Parts: sequence; structure tokens; C-alpha cells
Amino acid sequence: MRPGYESCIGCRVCALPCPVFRQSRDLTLTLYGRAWALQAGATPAEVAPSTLACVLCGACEPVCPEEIDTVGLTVELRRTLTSQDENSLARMVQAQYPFWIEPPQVTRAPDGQAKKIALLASSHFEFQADLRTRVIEALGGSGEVTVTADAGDDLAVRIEAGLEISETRRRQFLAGLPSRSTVVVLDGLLLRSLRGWQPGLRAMSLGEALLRRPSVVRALQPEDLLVIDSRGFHAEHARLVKFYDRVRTQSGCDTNLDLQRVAIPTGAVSLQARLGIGNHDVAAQVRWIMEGRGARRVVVEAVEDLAAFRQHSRVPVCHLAEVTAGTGS
Amino acid sequence: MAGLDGNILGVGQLNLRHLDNTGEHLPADPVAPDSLQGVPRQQTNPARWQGQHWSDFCAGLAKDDIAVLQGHVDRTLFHTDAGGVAFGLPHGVVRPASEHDVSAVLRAAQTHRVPVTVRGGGLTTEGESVAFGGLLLDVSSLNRVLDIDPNAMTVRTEAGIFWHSLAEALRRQGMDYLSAPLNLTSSVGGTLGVGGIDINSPRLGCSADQAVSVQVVTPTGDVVECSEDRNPELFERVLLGYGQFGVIVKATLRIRPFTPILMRYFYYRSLPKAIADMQRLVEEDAADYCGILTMVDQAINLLVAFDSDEREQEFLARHASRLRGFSEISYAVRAAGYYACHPWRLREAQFLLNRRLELFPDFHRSEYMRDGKIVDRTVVFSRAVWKHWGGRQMVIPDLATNGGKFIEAVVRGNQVCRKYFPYYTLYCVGIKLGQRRQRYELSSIPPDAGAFAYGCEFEPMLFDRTYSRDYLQSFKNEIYDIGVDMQTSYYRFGGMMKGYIRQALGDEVVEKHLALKKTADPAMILNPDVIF
Repeated sequence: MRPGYESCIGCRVCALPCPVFRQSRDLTLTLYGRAWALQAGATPAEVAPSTLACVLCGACEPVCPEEIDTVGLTVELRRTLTSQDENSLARMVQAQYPFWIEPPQVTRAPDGQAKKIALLASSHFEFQADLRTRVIEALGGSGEVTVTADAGDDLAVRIEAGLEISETRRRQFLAGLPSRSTVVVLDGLLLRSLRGWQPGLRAMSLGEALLRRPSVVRALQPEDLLVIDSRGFHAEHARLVKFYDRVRTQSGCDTNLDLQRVAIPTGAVSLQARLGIGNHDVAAQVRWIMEGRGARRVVVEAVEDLAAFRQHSRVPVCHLAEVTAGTGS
Repeated sequence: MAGLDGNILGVGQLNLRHLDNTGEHLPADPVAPDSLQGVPRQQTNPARWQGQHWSDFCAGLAKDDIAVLQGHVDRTLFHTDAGGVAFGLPHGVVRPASEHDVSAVLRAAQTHRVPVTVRGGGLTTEGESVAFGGLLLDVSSLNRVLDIDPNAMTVRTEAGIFWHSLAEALRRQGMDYLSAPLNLTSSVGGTLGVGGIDINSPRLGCSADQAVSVQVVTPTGDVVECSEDRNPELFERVLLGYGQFGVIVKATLRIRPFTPILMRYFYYRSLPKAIADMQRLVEEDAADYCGILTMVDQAINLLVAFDSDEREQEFLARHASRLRGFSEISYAVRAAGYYACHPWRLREAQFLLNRRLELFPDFHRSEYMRDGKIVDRTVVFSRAVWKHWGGRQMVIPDLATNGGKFIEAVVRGNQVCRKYFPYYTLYCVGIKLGQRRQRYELSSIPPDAGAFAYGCEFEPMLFDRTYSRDYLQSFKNEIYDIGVDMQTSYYRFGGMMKGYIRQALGDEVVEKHLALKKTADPAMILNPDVIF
């Protein structure tokens, strides 16, 4: 088990990459703020504003010298708020978007013949069928890729909102995963949980899966800014930081990593952004990512970042799955 | 809590009412079994400020739309500093949005005589940035980079910004600051207020010397821009002024083009030899970066680094062969021979080996290296510092001397470390001094230093063991006694160590600055207990 808030020594290094601190200038809204308040006897309800402000990008986790489970701690705090705080994300989701947390009606059994890649991605491509096709093509085509009937979207929302996940539902979801395939997960929080739920499972983010295709890396240009999905990246930072460093070296492209080699997030994937609540300013994050980088094209991994960069940057934007087609050039 | 009972102390009821009213208590002291039982460990001097006029003070600020945060979470965030030995709570916290907020706070504080403790990175170790009541001004909210001027090679920034955040902005323009502490969360303003030492200080001086100008809010609330040409008296007072003469809210700093650095290590078994070699390198300007880091008494590391291949080639051609340090392999062979002949020190050998295996990879992580050079040295060093030396308690007494006294001071300090702790690290560095400046008068810069001053930090490795304050204080006192005996200076002479100021720097200098302080800060409200 990784250390909890009691291990925080107050170095505040977690505040440096924190997008919430960058925008609010308020240390109480950082992991440090939560941990020290709890150490001093604060209740979860007292740190609720901090818990709810976090966009769960995970940037604080790899930089913590005490290796505190920062994302786990914040999610745990959200769980305690569910029944206490009327403003909790859980209550908002339950009230406004109850269908987000409903399990899918899966009628189709898992493919008898496992394909190389199982893609967990239903809601992300809800209005982007073309992009979904591109992703499948870039990952090797329909001969190699199967899209799972149960993408675990409800689980991802439940994790982020701090809602309980029943054991029955968890088992149902895991049973639907083809055991011999590489599972490609679009939601970084779900990916993180999946690794804990089924340690032997070969799972990776969409960004990593695409960048494992040499054609994708070759298609990246030195003038590109590759916007790494922060949640997936920080979920396995120690390994991925070296993986992306190789990608950067091979392609010459720039990335959204900061000097500590954590990915600067837009926050567009956060539940707050999807619910349209809170003070997080996606546009400000986009401007900070772009500042001084001189990028001539933005290539994103997270589907949600497509809209964020298209709206707030002045250069062509495409998804990583589209680079081989020259989109956005 | 033992010792806080008024009857035991015989001083009547202590004034904890403002805390008790909210059902809160000061955090428990880390009292170890070896500490003196029954001795109070919270400051209870009845002459101290006891909360008078707090409500009026807050009401006045409210009229200026300045929120004084008095909630539990807002205040407990600042209950101690990086030292983790001094504990206190402010009555309230203000996060200023601008110099005007700082000005309003200080004007109101003068009117109502409310103490104001300014906190940036909070990396003090002697409680200097801990508020024992009164207002805590959390200037980490002043963290915007205002302008980077590549023509003038300067940056204008709000001074509450962490050096790392400044570096993030500068690097987007291919720039870097000159010198800053090897710690990501030091603030610019706090550093300028005490000096700031980097491993390039032998070439570039202390961090405060890179300031071109600063905007200061004086203790009476005036917002004043100062530099060597404008209001030079105030400029010299606030730089290395330990926060006594104003709050630095903005700074214009010299910058330089960013360069990755190439690092080389030399290993010694003799501390005097290593120091003498370091001093020679410093005085001959042989390297762009230079410093000593020890692991154990038998393992001393002289590190040198270069901004360019040309500088490295020059070093190799002219200086390297004169160094008495060994390469890592050569040192390892000698160390193995030594420990083979001293088997009762095998535990130390094991520690050294483990340290080597744990620490060194962090200095060579591939993601921070390009073509054999370290990119982002501050990140690399700061990560290593927090990971391998950081903890809830950090005790880092130091000595700052001229060149002639340095070896003796370090050797004597090392003996004190050995007496108190099984493992400790010494960090030695040179500091280039330009012309003699007023700002050095009441500072870590020794009055008898010539072109260079030298500093050594003595940092015990506390690991997970909690030592009592008494024990740690005794250790610090013994180090500082060396300074008194040798007539040196110190970097950390404020807060809990301020008792040494008169002994070390003399009554004349202290009285002069006290008089200046009383003039500048009539109610003596700004950063009380740091020095005055």
C-alpha cells in the first residue's frame, strides 16, 4: 500500500505542476493543502472545496518525494463526501446525469476469438464516428482491434465522482475483457484502477498504444506539439516518462511536459469540465501549454483535448490517430 | 500537553482562549523521550502580542475588500516551516492579489499593532516563517511572471513565485535565472531577503546579487521601487534584510541563456584536501559550478560542472590534474581496502553502498539527460534533496567564513555532527562577492571575507527518527558556538537562532540595524522574532 496524507512532509513540490494552484494561487486547494489540513485534524468535509477543485490530472503523484498515493487519496476523500456534501460531484452526477453511472446493457458476449487489441472507448466517440474509425485503423484495423461492448464508462465516472462500485458490477466488467488482448483504455482513471483490479492484465492508454505503432511516430513532425493525456501518463509515470522521451527523440516533436517531466493538463477530461461546474479554466491551461513553444500543429491524445485546443489555440489540431493521414498538417 | 498547565508553570492561565473558542489546539510538539519533561515548548511570553485589536484590524481590511481567512484549514496550512521544529498558528491568513493588498495589510497592522509574518516558500528551518499569532501573509499568491525581456536579459516577476515556476516560464523563451537555491519551492522574494546560494555562486554570487530592482512594500505600507539608482538605501536594506525592512513584492532579475550542464565528480577521503581543492577551483574560476557534498567522513564528493564544452576542456587541461580527488572506480577500490582493514565499520560501508545505489541514479535519470548533460539541474538536485534528505524535521545549521578560516570551521563542525548523529551530510560552497555592499552588513556574508565567502551546511540525516527540540537545539548551538569562537557568520541566524546574532555580528551592527528597523517599522510588526 502506498503512503497516505500522513506521510506528507510539506515540501509543496506537488503545488508546482498543479493546474488548480496555477489558476487559484491557493495552496489550500492543492494536495499539500489537503494533506496538511488532515494532519492537523481537519475533517474531510472541511477540505471539501479542495477535494472538489482537483481535476485529478495526477501531476502531483510522480513529483511527490514521499510517493504518496495522491490520486487515490483525493478519490477516497470524494467518496467520504458523497453522503455529506450537497455540492459533491457524486450528488451532481446522480441528479443531473444518472445515465452516466448506469451499467451498459450488454447483450453481446465477448468475442470468441480474441483480437490483438481490445478498445474501451464507447462514450468518447459518441459524436465522432470518423475519429473512432481512424483510431481503429491506426491501431491496426478491424482485423486486429475489437471495440468492447462494455467500455466501463459508468465505472470511470463513478471513480472520479467518488461513487461506490459494486463488486458485482466490477466483476461483470472484468469478465468482459478479453484476457489475451492488449486492453486500450481511453480514460486514465479507469486505466489506473484496472491495473489494481487485474494486475496481470496488459492495459495501456490510447496514446501509448498509438505511439507503439512506428508509422505514428514517423508521422509526427518536429514542429508538432504532442499533448500527452495527463491521467494516463501519470498513472504509470516511471515507465512512460522514458517511453515518451524516446518518442520525442525519434520524432523531434515537442510535448506538453514541464521541467519536472509531468504532463501539463488542460483539465478538459475532468468531470467538472463535463458538468460545466467549478472554476477550472481550460482555456488558460491551453494558453500555458502553448506559450513559447512555437508549435505549428497540435496533436492530442485525449479526445476531449481536441475541442479544447481547437477552441483556444490558433494552430491546426488533430488527434494522434489522425497524424498518419496528414490531418491538421 | 505537559507543561502547558498554568498551575505547573505558575504564570496563571495561558492565553490559548482564542484557540479554545474554536475547539482547536496547537499541534503537539515532537517531544522525544530524551527531552526535558515539564518544560514548556510553546512561546508563552506575556509581553508578546495577545490578540489585541484583531477584530478592528480585520474589520478595517474588510473595508478594503481584503479577506482575512480565519478557518481551520486556511491557518493550519502554516503551522510549521520546513524545519518542523517550531509550531504556531496565525489568527488569520491573507493571500494578497497585488502590492496594494500588501500595502493595506501593513498600514492596518501599523495602526492596530498586529504582527505580520510573511511567508513565501516556507523553507525556513528556525521558525522564521511561522506565525505565533497575528496575521500570516501568504505571498505565494503573488506568482505571476510579468515580463521577460530578452534584449535587456531581465525578467520582471511577482516575488512570491517559486523559483521553479519562474524557471518554467523562462525556459519557454530559452532563458534561465542566474542562481537560485537548489530547491524547487523556494520563493524569489524570500531568497532575495536572505541571500540564496547555488552551486554556481562561486561564479555568479548569491541569488540576491542578481536583482536589478525590486518593488517593496515598506512596513508602513508605502509601495516603493528601488534599485542601485532609485532609493538605493532601501534596496540595500531589503536585500539580505531577513524581511525586516519591507515585503519584496516584485523583482527584476538578470537572466541568461539556458544551458544544460556537464557534471564531473571527484571523490576524496580527506575533508581538508577536498575543501582546499574546492577553494582553489573557486578562486581560479576553474568551473561554472562547484561544491562539496559528503556522504560519510570517508566519502567526500567534489562536484564540478560546466555550461559549455569549452569551459570543460579548459578545466581538464589546466585544473583537473591538480585535484587530489579520485575517480569513482579508483575511490571505490581504496574504500574497499579501507573497510576491509576496518571491519568494525562495515555498517558504515553498507550505508555508503546503499546511498550510492539509491542516490546516484537520481542524478542520472535519462529523462533529465541530453547527450550526457544534465538538463534542469535544479529539478534533478531538488528532487534528490527532498527524496533523500527531506523529512518532517530538517535541521541545517551552517557556518559562513572567509577563505582562511573555512577548513578549520568545517572540520570542527564535522566533529560536532559526528558527536550527535550517526549520519550527516556537509554541503560546502563558495560565494563570489563583488564590491563590499551595505546589504552584507547584517547577513550571512562574513565581514572579513574578501573576494569570496564560503559556506558550509551541516545536515544530519534524521531518517524516520524524531529527535527532541532540545537535542536538535544543542546540536545547532554547538555548531554556532564554533562560529562565535572563530568570529564567522551564519546563513540561518534568525528565528530560534537569533540569540547568536549579537555574539556573532556584534552589538554595534545590531544596534544600528535595530535603530533603522524602529524607524522603518514604528510598531515593530513586520516579521517579528526573525531578528528583532
